[in-house]
Amino acid sequence: MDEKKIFQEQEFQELYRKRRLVSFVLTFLTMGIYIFFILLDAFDREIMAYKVFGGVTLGISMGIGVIIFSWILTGIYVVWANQKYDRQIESFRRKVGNIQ
Amino acid sequence: MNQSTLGQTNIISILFFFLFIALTLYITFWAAKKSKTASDFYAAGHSISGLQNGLALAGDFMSAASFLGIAGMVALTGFDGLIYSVGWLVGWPVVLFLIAEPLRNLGKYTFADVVAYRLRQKPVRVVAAFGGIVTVIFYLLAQMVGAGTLVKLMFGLPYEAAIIIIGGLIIAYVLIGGMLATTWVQIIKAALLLGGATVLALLTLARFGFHFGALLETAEQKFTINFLLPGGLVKNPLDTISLGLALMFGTSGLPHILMRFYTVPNAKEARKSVFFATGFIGFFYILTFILGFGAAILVGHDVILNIDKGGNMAALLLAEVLGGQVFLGYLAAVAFATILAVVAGLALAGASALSHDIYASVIKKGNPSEKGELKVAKYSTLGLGIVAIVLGILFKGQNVAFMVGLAFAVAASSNFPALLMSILWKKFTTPGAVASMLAGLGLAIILIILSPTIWVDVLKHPTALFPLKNPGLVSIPASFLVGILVSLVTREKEAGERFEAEIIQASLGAGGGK
Repeated sequence: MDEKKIFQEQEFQELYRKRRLVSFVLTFLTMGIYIFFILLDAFDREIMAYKVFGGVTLGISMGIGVIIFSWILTGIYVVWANQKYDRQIESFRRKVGNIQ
Repeated sequence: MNQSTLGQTNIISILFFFLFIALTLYITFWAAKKSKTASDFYAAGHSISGLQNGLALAGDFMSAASFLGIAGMVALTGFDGLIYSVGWLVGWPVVLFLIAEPLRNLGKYTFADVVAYRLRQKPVRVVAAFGGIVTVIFYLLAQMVGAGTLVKLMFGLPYEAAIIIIGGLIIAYVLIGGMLATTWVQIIKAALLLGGATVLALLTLARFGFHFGALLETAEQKFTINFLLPGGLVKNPLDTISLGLALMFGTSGLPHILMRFYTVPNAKEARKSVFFATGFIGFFYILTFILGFGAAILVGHDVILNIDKGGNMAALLLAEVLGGQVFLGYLAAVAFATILAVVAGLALAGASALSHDIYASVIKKGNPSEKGELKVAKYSTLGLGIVAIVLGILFKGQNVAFMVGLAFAVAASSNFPALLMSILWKKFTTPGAVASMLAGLGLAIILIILSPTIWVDVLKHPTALFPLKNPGLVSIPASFLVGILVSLVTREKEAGERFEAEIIQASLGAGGGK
């Protein structure tokens, strides 16, 4: 099967669109959370002083929270891509190979 | 703490450092036996696992500047240091979501492989290689000058001697052992640094009954609540966001980071490596935050400022207070090793831009003899090592802290937009790519010269002509815009036709659907 045909396969288009959507959503989520954190730091200093638990302020919990959350997002993406997405890609690749 | 032995010759430290050198040189010769081909030299024969590459990537970010610099910033400004370090971390998810996988599937050794995938090789390669080398040189310069100063502060070793030792060692690592040795030097250093920082953080927390809140409360009592709240860093939030954007997208445009994705066997391992790297780096920044607070309380601002105005010695002083001479010696040696490992990666990335992009792809039109390409790669490494030494000595005593910010700004504004558009956008053309990269590069450099960072702080003019300290907020969108506009007014039929092949290879891996 030539490249044009593979590209036009509906299954391939769906996989391609899905991965692009997941990538963009996660990228904007990361950016959004970071910018939200900076703006909150800049415009609502008082709320950052709020004690969440035992001496730990909201600001510090949020800063460490953004770090941990970013890591969790990479984990979600890797689990999705390495298991679900790759399996679908693999089955598509076999199918294309068979047609050939 | 009353006084420190920092700056005096520390036998323990020198011992640790020689141990590190012996171990890394042993690995270098082991790697040399396994490295024969160009793929071995540039990409460690694709033999590195996701976990190993994750440690190596993390090692590239846990540079002396981020370990000593961020700990110092937290020690002096408190919460601001945390805001700053968060900016360094958020680039990693972006690398994973947008770049790692297509890069691994489309390219061979450099990021320019991907930018030039379906465009005209000569102009795109030349400009991409140029952007890559400029990024590497700025980064390198900051590392070398910082290194010379640090080594002087830590060991009392003369500046020039430190620079020449570093230059000589990195040439040896890269020239003899290629990417395999460079990667293992970085892995060993990352493990030593993470281990050392973890022990130091535990020793700090032990002083506060292993209670994070108690550490913060003590700081609050000593320095008031302001120490736990946003301060000068977000006075102008646009400044912080501009820096944040440069850090966020710059990570996806750093040649020495991108090159590491070719060392793993496939896209699966490439993805995993970013997950591990983000985890290690995030953990490391949390440790650094604890160390900064520990240093502020247990060492005190006066002692920290007395040794170094920038606060760079805070973590080491804390090690001295909590672990004595042995621990100080260990950590100082690891900080030195850190510089070596990062500079070696930079030299290799710069050399590959010259040998793979310029020599092999442009001069030899993609058909070099493997021997010839390797030879050029090795001469380029030697050349870059010498450039690093010369620049290090030339810029002695200069304020080059802004160079890292500039390297990230150039990477984010020149390398990243072209890379992303070439992966995602069918109508991207050769003139569009060239214009986008040149506009990003030019704007990043010009705006930073006109910004308070250089115009006021270095050139001593009263007011800056460009208000933001980092150009990212303007130069990144401008580079995209120029790339889009120029691509829309130019047509490149072949580039559009090859887009489908590119997407298939990016999704299915090399060999496409075959």
